[in-house]
Amino acid sequence: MSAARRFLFAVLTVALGLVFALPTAASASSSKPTITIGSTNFEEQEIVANLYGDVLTKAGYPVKIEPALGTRAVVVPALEHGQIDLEPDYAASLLGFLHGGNPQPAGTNIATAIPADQKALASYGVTVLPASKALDTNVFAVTKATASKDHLTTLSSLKPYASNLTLGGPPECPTFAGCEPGLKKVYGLDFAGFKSLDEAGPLSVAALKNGEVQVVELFSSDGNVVSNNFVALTDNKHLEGADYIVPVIRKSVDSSGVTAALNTLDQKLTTDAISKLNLEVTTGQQQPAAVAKAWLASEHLG
Amino acid sequence: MSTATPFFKWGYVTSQWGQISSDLLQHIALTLLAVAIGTVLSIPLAMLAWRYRAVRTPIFGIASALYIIPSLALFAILGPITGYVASYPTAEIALVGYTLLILIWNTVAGLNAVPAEAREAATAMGYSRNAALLRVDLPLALPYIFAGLRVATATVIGLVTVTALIGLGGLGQQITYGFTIGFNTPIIVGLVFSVALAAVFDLLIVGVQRLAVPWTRSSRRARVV
Amino acid sequence: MSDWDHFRHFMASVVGWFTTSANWTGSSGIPYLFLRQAELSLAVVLGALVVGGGIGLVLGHTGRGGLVAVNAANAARAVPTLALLTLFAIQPSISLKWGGFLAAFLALLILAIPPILTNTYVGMREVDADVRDAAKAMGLTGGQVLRRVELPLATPFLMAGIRTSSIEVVATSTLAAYVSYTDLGTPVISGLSTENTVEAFSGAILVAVLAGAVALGLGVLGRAITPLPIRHTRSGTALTTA
Repeated sequence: MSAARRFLFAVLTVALGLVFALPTAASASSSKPTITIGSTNFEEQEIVANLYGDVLTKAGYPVKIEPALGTRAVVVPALEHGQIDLEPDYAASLLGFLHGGNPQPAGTNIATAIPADQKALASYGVTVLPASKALDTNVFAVTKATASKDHLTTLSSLKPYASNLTLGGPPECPTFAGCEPGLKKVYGLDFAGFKSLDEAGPLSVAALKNGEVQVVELFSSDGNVVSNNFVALTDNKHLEGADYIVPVIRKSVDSSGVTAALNTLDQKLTTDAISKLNLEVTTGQQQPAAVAKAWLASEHLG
Repeated sequence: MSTATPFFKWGYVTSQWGQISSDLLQHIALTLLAVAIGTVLSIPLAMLAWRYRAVRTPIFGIASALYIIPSLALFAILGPITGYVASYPTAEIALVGYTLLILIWNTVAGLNAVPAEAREAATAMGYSRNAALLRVDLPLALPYIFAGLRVATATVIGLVTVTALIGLGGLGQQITYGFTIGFNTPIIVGLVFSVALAAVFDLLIVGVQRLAVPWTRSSRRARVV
Repeated sequence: MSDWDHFRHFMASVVGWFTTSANWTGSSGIPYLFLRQAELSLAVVLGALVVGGGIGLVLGHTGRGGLVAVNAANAARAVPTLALLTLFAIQPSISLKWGGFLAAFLALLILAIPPILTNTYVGMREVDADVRDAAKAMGLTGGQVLRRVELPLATPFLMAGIRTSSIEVVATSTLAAYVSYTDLGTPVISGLSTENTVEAFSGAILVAVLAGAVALGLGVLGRAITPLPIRHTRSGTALTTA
């Protein structure tokens, strides 16, 4: 560590220590340990941090939620050094972060991503629990009409049709490995043309809806796929990172009770479910905590 | 896309006030720092350019180049030099760069506008050429410097939003957020607060100018148009 | 590797980008991107000339709305173009029309009008009241005064406004790539969002060269940045560097 990083780290430790030391100490009298849950500023992670908090509270654990601590560069070190005990993260992106920001081959498949994460975090007394069913990554989507006409479910199934279809995506798509070049290399897809749109935002949605493009790159969980009835084609040959939401937890607070509570939640936490929750926060302008509570009640988990 | 929703939702401003105000503060901080550094650099450079013909061309050449390069391009060019595109140094160097030409130009114009009689009087009172520049010419050029300060500040406030594309942005973050989710309100918030911020800063600068150089209030403006 | 090696390696990659034939052909090639940027900029400046010049002429001729007309150019500096671009880009009736051209055109038009409007107005008002009165005394109608007296006298100012607008429009059209228009801003936006510094840097060089060429070609940088109250004092325009 360079002097500057050491200094930053010291500042961070002191700052987080001040934030967390008092409440943890105050509730230490309880029989079960207080679990401090942190999250980044990313709304989706804030929602999931609240979901974790609510199910663990129901299971009888004292919980303290510290939402919106900053970026992953703040949250993961806080977890490694025990200022927080639990955070929701993404299997592949976390793995990349733990390797200096370089995406790792193991990250493209959830079966290899989690063991790799566990290995990288083991020395800090941190582990990763089994993944939820909620995936947050780039997906390639088609309209429901296109999907049912050509029986499209996976990216592989696009192959016979690609030469008649126009692909839409962000400006970097034609040169970015995870986009057009990857589709060609991994799936052999040669599209009729490409149309530059935006970063999986409203222009991409509009262009797919009005037929200017027939395949478009979107985010799996920001609600655009669900709310427009699009079909996200399964990445069956693992082009994109397996960014399933996973609980990352300190072993010192992990017990069979905690694991069971989080597993029950993760079975119901699907991409569709988190997409709807995200929509309520972004376009519905509701608070992540309120959205989490309402959903758990409707799923009989809260 | 927001077809059914109203064009502007007031609820957003109240519920997201925490985020909006922190974006506003970042916007103010990025602006103040750029204008302050720009002023500190520009005035001596302008005096040099005015005093010594030999350095005039390089000073104006470099300042012009920084001014002409579009902001987004300047971030991308500075990135490999500062080491990292998405950083405060990249943003600040670019923002300061835009103030230089405006401030140097106006300062030099102000020095040019100093009446010859004032300069002759200073010489008669025994001031050296350089002392007169600092004690007589520069104060007399203040109205021009303030005019430049107003243009530079408004320009920087408008440009700070572009730094949202490299991860900073102040109120620009409201704009990119609104665009990302296809929601008008944050974009309008970013736009209106930027313009309002510029208006407030402009009034403040005019106020400071009236306190600092009260003699310029009407005479020079009266000659306009 | 030392910093120097890094730098040499980086510059070699940039040269490599410029010498890759794929970057010179087709719909992501430099000539095509350049043409799209030129096309957008030209359309915007012509539109601004019609609208801004027209309003400036009417206000200048009648002598009304002076406060607005004179301050328009400076007030517009603080309007974030990014906000206009994104706002137009997500309106359903404008979104994606003509390959993103319409949204970019409208946003840049709003940016381009004020300098032309302000300069035209100021030029019109510069016409000596005695000259105007003399023309009227000779029996010229309002329209004739405008056409034969005011317009010719205001033309240098109008030209200055056009040049200021052109510089700003060419520079800002880079941002249109963020909202789905394809031009020289595309490699910059694309490079920045994938941390491909070579692509971003190379695109930025192209954009910088284009903006510099336009500014040098029009040769009026000074006018573009000198606030009006100063521009018309004799001393303020004495400096002609850059």
